[in-house]
Amino acid sequence: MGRPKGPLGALGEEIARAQDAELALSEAADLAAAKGRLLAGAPGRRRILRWQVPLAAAAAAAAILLVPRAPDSLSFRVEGTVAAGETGAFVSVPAGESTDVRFSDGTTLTLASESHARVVQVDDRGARVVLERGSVRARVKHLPRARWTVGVGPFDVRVTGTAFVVQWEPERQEFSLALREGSVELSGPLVGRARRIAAGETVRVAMRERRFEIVSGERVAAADPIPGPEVSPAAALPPAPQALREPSNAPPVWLVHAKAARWQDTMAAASPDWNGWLGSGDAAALTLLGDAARYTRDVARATQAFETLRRRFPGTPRAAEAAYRLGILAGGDRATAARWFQTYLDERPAGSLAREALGRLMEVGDEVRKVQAARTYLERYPAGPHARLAQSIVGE
Amino acid sequence: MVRALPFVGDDAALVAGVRAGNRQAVAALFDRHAPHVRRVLARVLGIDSELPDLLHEVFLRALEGVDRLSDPAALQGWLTSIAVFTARGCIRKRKARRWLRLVAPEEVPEVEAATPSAEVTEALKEAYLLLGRLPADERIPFALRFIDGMELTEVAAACGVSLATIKRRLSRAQDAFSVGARAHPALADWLEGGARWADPRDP
Repeated sequence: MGRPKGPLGALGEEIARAQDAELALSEAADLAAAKGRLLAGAPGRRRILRWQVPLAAAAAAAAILLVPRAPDSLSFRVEGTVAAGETGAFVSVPAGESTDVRFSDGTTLTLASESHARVVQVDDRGARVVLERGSVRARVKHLPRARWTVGVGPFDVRVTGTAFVVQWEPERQEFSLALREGSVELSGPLVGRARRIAAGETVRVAMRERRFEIVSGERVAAADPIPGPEVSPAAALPPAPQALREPSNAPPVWLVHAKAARWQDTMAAASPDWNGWLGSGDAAALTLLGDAARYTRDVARATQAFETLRRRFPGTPRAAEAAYRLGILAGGDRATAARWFQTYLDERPAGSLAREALGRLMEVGDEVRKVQAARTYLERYPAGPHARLAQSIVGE
Repeated sequence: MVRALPFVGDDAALVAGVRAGNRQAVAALFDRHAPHVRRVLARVLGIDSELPDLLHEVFLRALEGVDRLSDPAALQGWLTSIAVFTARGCIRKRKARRWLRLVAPEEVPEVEAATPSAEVTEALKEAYLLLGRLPADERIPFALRFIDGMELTEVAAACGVSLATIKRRLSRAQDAFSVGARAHPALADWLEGGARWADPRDP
């Protein structure tokens, strides 16, 4: 392979290796799914090529493949109009009224008073609708392979079959979602990644105030009153609390930021009760807190987090990983760093960081440790990224 | 029970079989080249829940355009260029939906990165966040060259541009990625480590 030498090439190689490990986990399923559709002539994003072998060739025992036509796109109609709906055209709802947009698969979108929306794309699996302002109640028909997207300001709602009400106030930068049926996972600003939302829950995001909440068990009636002209869409929702309120089943805000790799925000959220989190969090939480401190260059807090982890959860894999991180945090104190890397190797000789720990020992260890690490490295990882360094140390 | 024999033959024979409508040839085309195509898509886009869809799309395009393949012996390179084209289209469509996404649970990929270390997993994540900020025409050659390890000529062919053009794009991508990577702790660790651990005899 022609990967360039140097740090970027080495980083690229490590990324490729990690990615290959992840790809391997789902390879069989991915290949089977794609192959099955290809050979069955299942519809893709484009029309299937229709091609046949002449009958004469078929008579000679060659295979004949007849690929069925891809199904047509869904159609839709806007309530109150005669002609079929037009992709890209605005649907603007007058004050005091509501308007249904009905699709040929049975999906219905109900736009509230003074709402503006467009159907920007339609295919055989669903559609993409953009809500420019206002509120839409969606009842998406749950069908195999259904794929619907509702663009709501900077948010995207992607569903396969559920019922919900979503709202966007562009002037106030406020988003809300009330889920009636089904369940989805929500990712994005403030709420983090892949947060599961269940039927009966309502999510509100106030972007300017940087707060979000999830309220459980609010009644979302089957015949929700669509707001009239005297009521703004936002006020039609249950009133927001006066102060930030985190539902008891929601993870702490710092954890939401950490899972989205927003390290500065993580530290800002965790700092007011830093010692409390270290005292109450599990090993995974302490690892995240330590990493957040490390990534924001707060060496003291990072050291505290990892030392606390080792004290509270001795003998665990995460305690060993904490030892490795303490080695990194030791910086120029080579003796301390070497001690921590060796501790990791003693506790987890075949752990996921063993190769890295050996590599670092080759750099910071004393002569004896350096040679020992190099020999071990060459035994276990003869083709590893640091093999050449190891060879130069042992003089091969 | 009559069982179809698997297709046997090199890529040129495979192409001929597909052109003739041989079902076994279509299956063999997929079996032989899908892992490579999938890897190329992943190099450019990262691990993605739409990989099976995109993989299917690449092979659909291949079947539709197989009559236009001038050199059947260059089948893999041609498939690579289709994969790059498909990935580029996907990147452009996603530019407009970059923020919050609600996904149905069954569509959220559950990947357990048990084998790579936590450090590398974090670097993987941050690398693709950085790549996502590059223009598609710089992101794609960077991913093919530095992550997949393709030769420059292969990268140029896959992207459908000259060697000179791909070198210019790579240079810009390299600069932008390096600057960005040094601001991301997980990547900075690896970049510094890579420099530290390089054999001093390396040029």
